[in-house]
Amino acid sequence: MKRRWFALATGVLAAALVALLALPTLALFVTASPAAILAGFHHPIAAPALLLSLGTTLVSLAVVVTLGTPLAWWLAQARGRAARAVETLVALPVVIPPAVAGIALLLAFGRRGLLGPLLERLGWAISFTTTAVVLAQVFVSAPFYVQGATAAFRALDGNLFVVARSLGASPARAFFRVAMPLARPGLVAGAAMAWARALGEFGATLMFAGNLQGRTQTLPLAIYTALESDLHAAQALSVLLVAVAFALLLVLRARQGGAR
Amino acid sequence: MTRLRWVLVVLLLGAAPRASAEPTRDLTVFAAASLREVFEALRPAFERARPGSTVRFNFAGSQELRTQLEHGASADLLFSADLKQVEALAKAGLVLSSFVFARNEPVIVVPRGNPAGIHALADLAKTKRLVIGAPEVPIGGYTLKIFDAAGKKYGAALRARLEAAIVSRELNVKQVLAKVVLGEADAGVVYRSDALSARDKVEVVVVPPELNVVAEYPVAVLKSAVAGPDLAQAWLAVLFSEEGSRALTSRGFQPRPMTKIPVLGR
Amino acid sequence: MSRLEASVRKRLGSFALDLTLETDGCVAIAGPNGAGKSTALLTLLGIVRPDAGHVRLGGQPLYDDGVDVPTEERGIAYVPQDYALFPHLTASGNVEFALGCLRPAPARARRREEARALLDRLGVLACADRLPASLSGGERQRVALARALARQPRALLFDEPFAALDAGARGEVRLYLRARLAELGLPAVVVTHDRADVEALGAPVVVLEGGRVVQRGTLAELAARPATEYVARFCG
Repeated sequence: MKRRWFALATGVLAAALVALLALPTLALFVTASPAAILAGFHHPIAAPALLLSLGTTLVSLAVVVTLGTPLAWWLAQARGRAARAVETLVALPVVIPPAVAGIALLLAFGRRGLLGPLLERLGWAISFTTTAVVLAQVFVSAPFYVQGATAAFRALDGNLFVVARSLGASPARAFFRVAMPLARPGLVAGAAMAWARALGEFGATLMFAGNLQGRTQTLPLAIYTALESDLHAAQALSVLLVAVAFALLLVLRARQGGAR
Repeated sequence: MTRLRWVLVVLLLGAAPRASAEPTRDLTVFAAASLREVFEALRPAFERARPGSTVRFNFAGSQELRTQLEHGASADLLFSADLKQVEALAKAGLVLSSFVFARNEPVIVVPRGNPAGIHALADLAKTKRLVIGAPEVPIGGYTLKIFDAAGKKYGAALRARLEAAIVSRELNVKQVLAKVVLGEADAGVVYRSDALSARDKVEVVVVPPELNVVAEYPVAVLKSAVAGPDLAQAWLAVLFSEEGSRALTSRGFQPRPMTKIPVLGR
Repeated sequence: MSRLEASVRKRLGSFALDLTLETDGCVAIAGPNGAGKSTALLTLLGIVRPDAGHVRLGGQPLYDDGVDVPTEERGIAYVPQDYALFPHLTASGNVEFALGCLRPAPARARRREEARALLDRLGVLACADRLPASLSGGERQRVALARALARQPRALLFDEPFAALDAGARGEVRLYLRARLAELGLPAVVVTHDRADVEALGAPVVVLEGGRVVQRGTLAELAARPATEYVARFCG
């Protein structure tokens, strides 16, 4: 008797959460006719936003992985207080509201920000450019990759590296031939999360990069802009964003599964 | 185990929404972002006039408020920065009555120190960082009208250069102002009331009257009102009182002179 | 015949490791858990730096005043307790990895041949294309040994080489290792806490307790005059 109650309660609670998560997403797809959605895809705002989103997230993912992997490797091995402090610092963007992140980016890289005068002398005005979009995406998505990669590297058996070194492997060889292949599922999962976060980034982008079609109006910004005037266009773009994100996640999951 | 069940039942019952036929004690006002400072300043006057009640504000871009109302949000009054939003709501049958209550004037603002040297509308064409509102936002609509008028007067080349200078179309006027205040934009187009609110951080460049438009701010009495006509009336009375007029004027608005406050009824 | 000489001291939390040993053949380090045996191996290997002392192999200082040869260049092979085979490489791949670290490294095709030859010499050629997860404990140990030998080491270190085996395989593998070590004639240090291992290897013992050497000698000598209670219990 007690066992059935437990199963029932677990089932009901779990189903409630699944419904809460699934219903809005389903509503996106189901409440508009396919014709309306297709018309929305052809909205002039759609194609530039999609291309910009794909382009910028690819670049920001590349930056995050290239810079984040060595950082994660160091964090996984280092023991001192410095490493712990860095780890906390890297996790901060996750708890900062995106709009606040946007302001912070402006205060750091904007024309009157900390680095503003220096950048201006070098001829680099970052705000309102596509570079700013990538920067905002890197800022908000990097923690997801670094945390996942650090956990993946930490989970590796330390003895493997002792042995590798004793066999004569240089630190680089040990990293590329032993650490990377073994950590790959975790690295790919971290990259997937970072990519998804970058794709959906809105608040920081709006503040720091602005909202201009073709240059800084990513898909989330386009959706929000479209919402002001044409709900159907906004819905179509939302469907597009969800479909693209879903496809990306599927692809990454497949590669992760294959690597096992 | 039974105790847990009862707790769950009580929680579920408590969470069920309750329908009420009596008017609530607080007034709900949706207002354009540009009205934030002046309305917040007038709230105490309302609370004095109706002790026990207060007015709750939702400030956002007028187009955003319209969208919320179209999707079932409920409010007593809507103060919009342009007529377009109220017209759309009226077409959807959500407005009981409306009238213009104040006017505002679009102006050009530049960061303090005027780093790009803007002294006239035509100078905007030589900036590289012009920020305006998105077309759907009232201030954006007004800005486009101003630019179109300038193009008609000074030629299509100027109009094209103005277009090329735009680096961002923000989704409410406060964001345009923020970019200018932060020094990120060389210039922006906002309302005079916004320029006044940031008077020590920005400088104003006036738009020539033959090119400028008048921003008319309507107030709409909404069908979704729940606070009862008396409270809405009281708020309007505050707005059109001496104190209210002074508050509006000192912040750059031009209140419409009202000899008699319209009586609101259902 | 090359000689491994070491005298290392290292502060380890609650006690200090102070180990001296010299061997040109097999020697066992015994002691209770937490006595510092594994750390001792890591200092010989160069993973852990001693506070003071020296490590010399074949007369060449690996660690001494101003000298600290990196682990990669010491030429000492290490087989940890669970063998630490690279799980993503086949048995042959593991051995090829070691061959690839030689300077100069043989060409890729040569590496495959040599790896298979080594596995064959140790009797595990059948495992060549299988992943470590699918091998038995005894097979894994031999593959680990093949990998260690591929490095052409000048000394070998084993940490509890028989602990991961089930009782049945243990006896056979002990004799096997003894034979191979005799064949190689290299200095080898075997850490263990099991008397039967020492007996099977026929090697002299150094007993570590709380980081200090409390006795050294053959099993017979220890049994005759145990210096501590642990030694007495160890000898049975």
